[in-house]
Amino acid sequence: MMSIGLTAALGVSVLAVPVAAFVLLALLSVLPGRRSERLITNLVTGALMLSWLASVATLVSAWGPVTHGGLSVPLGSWFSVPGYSLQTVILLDLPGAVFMTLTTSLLILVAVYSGRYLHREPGFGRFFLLLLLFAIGMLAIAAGGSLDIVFGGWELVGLSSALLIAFFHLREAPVRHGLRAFAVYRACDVGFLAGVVLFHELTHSSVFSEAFPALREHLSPFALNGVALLFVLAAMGKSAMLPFTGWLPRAMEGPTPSSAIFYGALSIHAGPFLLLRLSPLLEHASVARGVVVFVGALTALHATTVGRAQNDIKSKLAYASVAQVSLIWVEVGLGFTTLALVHMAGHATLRTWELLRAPSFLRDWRARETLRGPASKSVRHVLPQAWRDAIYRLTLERWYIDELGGFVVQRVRGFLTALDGLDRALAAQLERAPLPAVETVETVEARRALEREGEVRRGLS
Amino acid sequence: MASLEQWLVGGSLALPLLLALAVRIWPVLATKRPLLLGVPALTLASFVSLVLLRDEVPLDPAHTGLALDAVARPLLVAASGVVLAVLAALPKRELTRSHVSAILIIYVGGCWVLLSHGVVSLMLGYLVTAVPILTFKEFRARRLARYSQALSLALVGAGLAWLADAAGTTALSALPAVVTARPGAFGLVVLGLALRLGVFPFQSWLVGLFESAPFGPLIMSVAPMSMLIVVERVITPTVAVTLGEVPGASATLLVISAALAAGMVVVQTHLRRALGWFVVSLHSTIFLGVLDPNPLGHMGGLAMWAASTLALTGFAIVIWALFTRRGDIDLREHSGFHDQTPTLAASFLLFGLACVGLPGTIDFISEDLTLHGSIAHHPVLLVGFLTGVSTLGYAVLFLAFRIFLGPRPPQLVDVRVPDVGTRERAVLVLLGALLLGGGMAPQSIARPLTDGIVSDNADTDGPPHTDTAPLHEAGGAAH
Repeated sequence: MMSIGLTAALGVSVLAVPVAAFVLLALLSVLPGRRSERLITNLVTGALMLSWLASVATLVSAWGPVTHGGLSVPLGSWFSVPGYSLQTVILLDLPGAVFMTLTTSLLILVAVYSGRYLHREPGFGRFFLLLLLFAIGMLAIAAGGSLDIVFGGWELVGLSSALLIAFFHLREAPVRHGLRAFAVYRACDVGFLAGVVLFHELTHSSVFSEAFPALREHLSPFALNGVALLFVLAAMGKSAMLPFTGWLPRAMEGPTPSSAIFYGALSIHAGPFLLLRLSPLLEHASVARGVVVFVGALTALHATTVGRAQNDIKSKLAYASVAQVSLIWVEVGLGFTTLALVHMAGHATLRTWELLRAPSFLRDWRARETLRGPASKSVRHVLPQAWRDAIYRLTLERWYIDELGGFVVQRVRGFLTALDGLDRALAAQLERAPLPAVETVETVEARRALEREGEVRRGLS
Repeated sequence: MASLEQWLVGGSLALPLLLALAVRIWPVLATKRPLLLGVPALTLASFVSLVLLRDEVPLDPAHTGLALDAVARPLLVAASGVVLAVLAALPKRELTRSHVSAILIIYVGGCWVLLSHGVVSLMLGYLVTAVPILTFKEFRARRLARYSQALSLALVGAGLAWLADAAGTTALSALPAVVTARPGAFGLVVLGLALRLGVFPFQSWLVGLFESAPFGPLIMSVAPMSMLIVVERVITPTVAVTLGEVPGASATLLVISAALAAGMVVVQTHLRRALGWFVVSLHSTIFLGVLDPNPLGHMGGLAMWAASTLALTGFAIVIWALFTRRGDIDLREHSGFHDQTPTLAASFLLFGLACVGLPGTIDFISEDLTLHGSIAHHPVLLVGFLTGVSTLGYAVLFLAFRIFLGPRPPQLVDVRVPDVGTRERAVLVLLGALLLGGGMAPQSIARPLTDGIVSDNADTDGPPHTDTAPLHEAGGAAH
């Protein structure tokens, strides 16, 4: 049986080893010259393996009596001023240990896979650096014993996610989609930050082990639901729940291994994991739990229908992931936390395998058809043709959610552009200078489109 | 007989001033970089030693109106770091007497302002920091900037003089007590400061300045944000005495300013103007933090001020490096510089995100403090404030992606853009190490500021200094 001290040391090393590897790799990348791919892969894989060993040991101890019910390991005060202290605390409990083990296991798999998949790719070192940054973020979410630590990890996951979507940056689409994903993350992070501040304000602590016991005694249902809903908003963004689903299929522009680990396996499950972590809060917030169930169910319907209309394998897998994560949301909302944890681990593993196999999907499909014959007919003939057309159109357009979002963004952008024009005009007036003619992004894009059209016509003629 | 501390402070002001004068007289000195770096390095060392000494240093306040208190110490260190970084990053073609002397004079003026505890000395420092940037002929917004600076100077000067008249003394610490008798004067000071810091809707001159002013003096005049000391020494104590919390109207205006300016960054067509809006948003956020009379939020504001000084300097130096290579970057299309300038790209992200609280940097801590301390008193404004911070974070990534990623447009395909040189790399590595090191050991920043508030409470017979007594009385009840 492991002692508390040993368990705590193992829990800390789960997070510390990737941090050390990240610092080492960052220092190596600053030095002039080129590092060998083997060195980078071995360094990252080795660090992740050490972290995995520690996380497995933590998982074993989490079932034992030492950490039964969760072991909160205080690592001291990060900083403190009169009236406030930010505590560095690691929480070693069963959900956290499962998530840590899952994270390290899948990351090792992806690191090994990526060593070959990205062979001779110009951004080889950058990919592994970002992978480690992501690992640190995910492990901080899994092991964080206070909301501040979890938030730090949450931010790192968002940043590394956006940078990895834009990995193939010589094309415009990955860059645009990376930015889109980050925009959604930032918008939803408002909920997380507000939640952290209000949670601390109400319970006088961000440390889970201190704050949760105080919940029922001191807080009104209104406050509990309000704070819980803020965290639900944050989790909605990370898990691509409605109405934030649009970024996920676009995020598949990144390298396949990162798509697998981010949007199939881990990052997308960070949302439900946060809700699991905050389940003592949700227990007392019935309205928030209702919202979790409703959002999950609606997104499941959305992802299932829209996924059927996708015509590429990665988008199809993305919507399949969303559908499963939505079901996990429903489970969390209904209070089936153990089921949600098992579902999460199973789904993450399966989806990683599917996404890593995605490049060979057609070959797999044909092999399956050869063995079993063609796939069975669906029940599509049950509905009348007009209904089928309408539903197909709706799913093809992804329920018009992107259009709605685009409309809002365009209006805000238009307002800000107008305001900027006003500012320029006012400044020019005060300077008594002629107003400079400025092309906006929209006019530049329109002009480019016309130029391209002209070039095509000239080419045809 | 002057003490060692007084010699250190006096020397730290006199040496750069003498160097600035020498450069004006002998322009060849402006090209001697070791000399240019040596003097700020000495001042930095002396200010660091003063932080370690932690003594209140009266500098003959009866005559000069200057004193080194605990709040000013870390800010002086930050300002010295800025001048050292700016002079180290100054490209060879800008090693001219006008640039170098302007940078040094603005630095001395900024330090003077931070040390000021009297109305006259403060206004003198204000004048010294404002004028050099206006002497450059190459920027378009000169008239607007001149008018704005003059108006701001007049408003703050008139307001403080009016208050000093009521108080019967020019000591800044005496002014909050008489604000209720002269609310109009207080209004003038607040308006003048909003104008000076470029808070919306007074931002046009600042954004215009960013479009065309020379980078070195510009960074020196904007990054240390020395005029915020008026907020620290007059406005916040007044708010604490009279209201107990930030007035709703002011907080709303600052939140709108922060959020709107952050949004404006994204719709800009050129990088320099975008940086101008970025600074407006950052100034508004820090203004709100420093303005907060709640000890926690106030401390967060001060920490954010010190941390953002370094982060903003690094961010502006990266943009300056891009500007010297490719001119003002067009943001309407991707430039795709990453392959050639990976270090610049990484530095851009690090410093840009450090300004908005990247985990692991000092700003993460200061933002946390500000949020916990101040905004909880304005739950409705919390969302607005967070929207500003979040949008600013998005804006940093938007700018980074526009500049460094994406396909290169046809006109840039064959253009070679060099990455950072050795000198620039050294500056960026040092600033980055300070930000990350401070993030790992934030107590080094928090301790001097905590000491500042504690020493204010304990020492009532010392030289004129920030009257923050109401802050401390509220301290224990924060949480």
